[in-house]
Amino acid sequence: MGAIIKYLVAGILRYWLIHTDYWQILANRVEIATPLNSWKRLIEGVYLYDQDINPYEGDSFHESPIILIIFHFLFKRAPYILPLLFTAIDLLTASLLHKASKAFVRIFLNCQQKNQSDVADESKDMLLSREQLMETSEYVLSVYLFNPYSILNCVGMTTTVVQNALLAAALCSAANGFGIVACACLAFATHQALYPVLQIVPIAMILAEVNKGCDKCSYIRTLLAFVVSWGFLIYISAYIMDGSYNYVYNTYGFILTIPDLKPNVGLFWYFFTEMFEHFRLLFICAFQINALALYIVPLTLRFKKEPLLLITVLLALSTVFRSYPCIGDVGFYMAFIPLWRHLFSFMQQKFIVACAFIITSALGPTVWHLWIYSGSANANFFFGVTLSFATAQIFLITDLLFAYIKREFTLRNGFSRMVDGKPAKLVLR
Amino acid sequence: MGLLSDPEYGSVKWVKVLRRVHRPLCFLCYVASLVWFVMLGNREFNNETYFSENALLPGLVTNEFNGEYAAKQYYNEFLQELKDKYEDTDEIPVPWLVGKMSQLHLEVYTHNFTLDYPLGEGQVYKGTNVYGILRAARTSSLEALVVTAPYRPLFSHQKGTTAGIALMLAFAQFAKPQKYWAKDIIFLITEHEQLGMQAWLEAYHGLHSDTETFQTSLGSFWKPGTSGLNFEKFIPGFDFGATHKKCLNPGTLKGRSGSIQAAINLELHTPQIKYIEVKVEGLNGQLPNLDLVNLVHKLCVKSGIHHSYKNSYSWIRTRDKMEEWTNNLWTMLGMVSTQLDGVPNGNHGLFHRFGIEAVTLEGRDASDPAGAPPKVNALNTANFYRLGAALESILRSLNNLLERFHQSYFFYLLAATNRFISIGQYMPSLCLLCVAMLLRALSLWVSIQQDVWEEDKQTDKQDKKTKEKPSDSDTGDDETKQLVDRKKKVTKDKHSDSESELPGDVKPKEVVKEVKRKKKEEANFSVVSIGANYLLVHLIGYAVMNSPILFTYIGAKYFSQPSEVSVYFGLVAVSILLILITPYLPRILRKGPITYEEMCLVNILLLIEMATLCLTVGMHNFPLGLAIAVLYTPVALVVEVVTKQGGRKSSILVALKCLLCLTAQPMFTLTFAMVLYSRVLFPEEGLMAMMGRGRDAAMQATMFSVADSLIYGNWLFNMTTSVLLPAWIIFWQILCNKVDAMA
Repeated sequence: MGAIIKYLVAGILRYWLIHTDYWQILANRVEIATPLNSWKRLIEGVYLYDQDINPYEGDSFHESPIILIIFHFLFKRAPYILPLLFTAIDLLTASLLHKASKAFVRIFLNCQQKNQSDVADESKDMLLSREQLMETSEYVLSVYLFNPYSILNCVGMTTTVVQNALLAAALCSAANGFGIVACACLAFATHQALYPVLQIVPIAMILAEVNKGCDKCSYIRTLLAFVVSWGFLIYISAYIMDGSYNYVYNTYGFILTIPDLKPNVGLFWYFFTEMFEHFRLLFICAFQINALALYIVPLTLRFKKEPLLLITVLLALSTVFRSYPCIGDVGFYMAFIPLWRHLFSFMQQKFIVACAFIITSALGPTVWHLWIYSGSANANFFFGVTLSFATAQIFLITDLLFAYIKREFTLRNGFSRMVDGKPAKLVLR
Repeated sequence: MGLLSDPEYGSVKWVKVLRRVHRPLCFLCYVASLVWFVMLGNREFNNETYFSENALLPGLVTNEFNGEYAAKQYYNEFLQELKDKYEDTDEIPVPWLVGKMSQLHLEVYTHNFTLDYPLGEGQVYKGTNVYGILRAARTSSLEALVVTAPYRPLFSHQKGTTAGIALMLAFAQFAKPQKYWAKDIIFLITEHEQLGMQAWLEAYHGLHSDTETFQTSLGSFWKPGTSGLNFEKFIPGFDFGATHKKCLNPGTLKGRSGSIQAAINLELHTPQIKYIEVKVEGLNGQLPNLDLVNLVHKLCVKSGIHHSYKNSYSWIRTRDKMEEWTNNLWTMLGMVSTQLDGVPNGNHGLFHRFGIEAVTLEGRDASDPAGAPPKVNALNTANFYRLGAALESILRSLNNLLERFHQSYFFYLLAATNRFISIGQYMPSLCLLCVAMLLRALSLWVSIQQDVWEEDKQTDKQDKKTKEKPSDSDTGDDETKQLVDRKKKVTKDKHSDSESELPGDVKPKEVVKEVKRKKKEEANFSVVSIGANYLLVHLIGYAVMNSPILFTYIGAKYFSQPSEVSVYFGLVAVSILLILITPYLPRILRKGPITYEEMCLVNILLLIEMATLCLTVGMHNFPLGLAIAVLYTPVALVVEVVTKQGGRKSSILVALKCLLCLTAQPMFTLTFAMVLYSRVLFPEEGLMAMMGRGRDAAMQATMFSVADSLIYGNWLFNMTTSVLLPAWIIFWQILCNKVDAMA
């Protein structure tokens, strides 16, 4: 009953906001709509396609061709259904996340059972019970449904809504052991925005754990399924575009080389407007390695027993460092935070992070208005705010990781931190 | 890194210190902020103005203005024309103006606009603007400067602007044959004061389309008539989306020029003025670039015209430091009070919204309603020659601009005509107030954690007797977890050496305890009810924001009252209703009683929200942000969660707090302020008359702010109702709900 009310309220809220006068303002906000996912560009692309003009020849459309023909179909047949459809997809995402988190909790409990022998006697109480963990999935649901970031993302009708749904579907099916579905969904999400490719690592780990058997075979199977479905999607897209692979330059190429420097909540645009042209390639490589490759190996090695944490952290990191982030991505990974409720007591910076999120979220639109409309502030003001927004997210991630490590340490060694009879202190160095 | 990684949060030294000293610290912040603001008036703490934009080259040209005679002639002709034909009508003399401008070979156009007054019974106002464009000889109309004057009929209670219009025409005559213009000059005469200006600017920038909705964004994909799913279908007549139809129809312009770089608004009622007041404050407290303000002041000096800004007069320069300081302070306060309501104090203020720098030059003589400045009678009067020369040098300097104003400052306070305070210098005073609120939030935050810790200590003492190991492993909440940790720590700290646990001897007791604790925890913390209450209160604010039109409708239909009465009394009634009802809101949304932690959390959230509000408003409109912060920081610091356990003393204290909170209710604050203000203005009147005057003034003020928000986009009313009012409601809820204290 409670869940139905939640869905209903969240759905009505989203649907109503789409039909208010504020819709256009929201749909055009830089924080919500990036060149990659904005509603305006989607319409533009579909319109060009409808007029038999290749939308990838220009510089306005960067979504994948599959999305293009799906929306072309919808636009032609039933445009009035779109607000409802976006709302429904977002609610579906929420329910998939709910299911996924339930499955995650099961995995977590199994894991805890397995490692029980390592736990120090006095820390036995800290082990988590089933009921308590089951509650967290309700929180996951509420957080996704009522997080202002995800609401605004859905109201802005960005294609990130679709991407979030695909990611949620991938995670949900992986947690329930449906390897092929997970790989297909993830491949689609990757085809759309590239950065979800990182999730293949934790998903492979989860699949190996859920489907008992040979670990290595499972890894290979997952990877194979992913690569094959991704390749298939790329081929299908080319088929849609009459066999031409040129669209790749305007989708993956666009994500990787960042030609459009329209400000957003990320960190790329400011650096690349400031940069000398001949250093551009170097810095693109540096930034993209940071977003795509740098963290995955060390984090995987450190948290190989904890794929759930890996998912959360990789989602968050790729959101912070991706080339065209929007608040829809932020809202998506925030839904995973309640899963780590048992770490909250170990976290130190909750207050700072919460304050930073609230203040930057209010200050961002303010300085944007002053910069663009009043002409009285400038780009540095807005970048300052987005920089502190990113910093708040990084604080959240490091805090989460460190809290996890602390809990792990406490579990293994008990509460007493005594060194030579004196109370000792854990310090991160 | 120690602060970030030390797990023993509650016991760190700084937390203890903070808990002890946060009250004096907050008070100190508050006082420091006020002191800082007062210090800004001192010469040592503000700066001399200077030109940042080199391209302006102020005053480098030799004045050539020779239109003194023409200006006089225009002035007399115009007065005659008004007396003859427009004595008792408020229409603008379009034929005369068009005729004169055409004679000067300007491109002359008229511009019609209509206003559907949103708060009445369908009144429609019409107006006409007249403007002439002087095309620059040297460029192709890419950039323009605007010289403008509002038209005021003879019987207007405001000072006329006839001299300004005459000067403008004379200047146009002088400027037409000149070859050096690199920018077009638009000479604009507007009707109905700011309304005409707003309409002209909106028409110039093409802002007449209604906002795009989802359907219109679909373009050709949307076939009219297929509106499949629409709320209006189900309940016709109810405005779901709060769709504000634009009430001002700006019409279209027949002739345009390029992008407007700067604008000068002239309000001169007679050529024999004593001095010029330079008005800068615009819509929503926005200010023009400081370079333009400097330019006007500097060139007034050069042309031999006395000029002033608020309490600072160019002909009075005192050597007494104290006197200078107080003068500067009064000037700053004058600026603060003008910017506070966000209403522009001249037609220049509407330009700022479009990123156009503009100022108003208002002529004043000794008997001005604004009050006579010292030594004004000793000044020699200005004449058309000097005014024209000033206007010429200002426009020729603007003509030199290579790009838009972008250097210098957009955020500043003026302490005198030649002293200013930049954003970096005044922001600390606002930030200190926000810091006070955040400090209080932080101390509350650590205190909830600490309280849990202390509670543990007590239970621990009981535990000692039974020597049982406390066992509440699984209550799952954030707080509980903390609790468990702390408990563990405490246990360890206290008897780490002596106790070897005796497992499994007091099982039943353990279970009972566990159940008890679990229940407690469940009741303890309901994020859902907090969130729902928070959301509901803000929705109420949103509803109040959209209510004036409804009030007008009801007032006109059932009580046949004018709109201002019905809006004012409607808002007062809503305020009283909210005061009575809202304290019960958090109780409805939950089953058990409200707990201390919940209220604390609400309080923390509220403090953060207030700090954010002050900061963001302060970025747009510093005086308004500062005023809100100065007014509401004491309330925010005083309000705290009320516990049931408390003697008589504390209940008196709570009553006092409630009283303070009530006076801070936005609607009541406005009324009190207006009553006080009328007391200051008319000290001789009796109490009832004073109240009546105050009420009328408050009525007017409410009405103006509502109308301004609907017509001009002034967001004072919207901000107050949709953010400040909900915040106040939550303050009120916190004070009115008594909760059990922590054990």
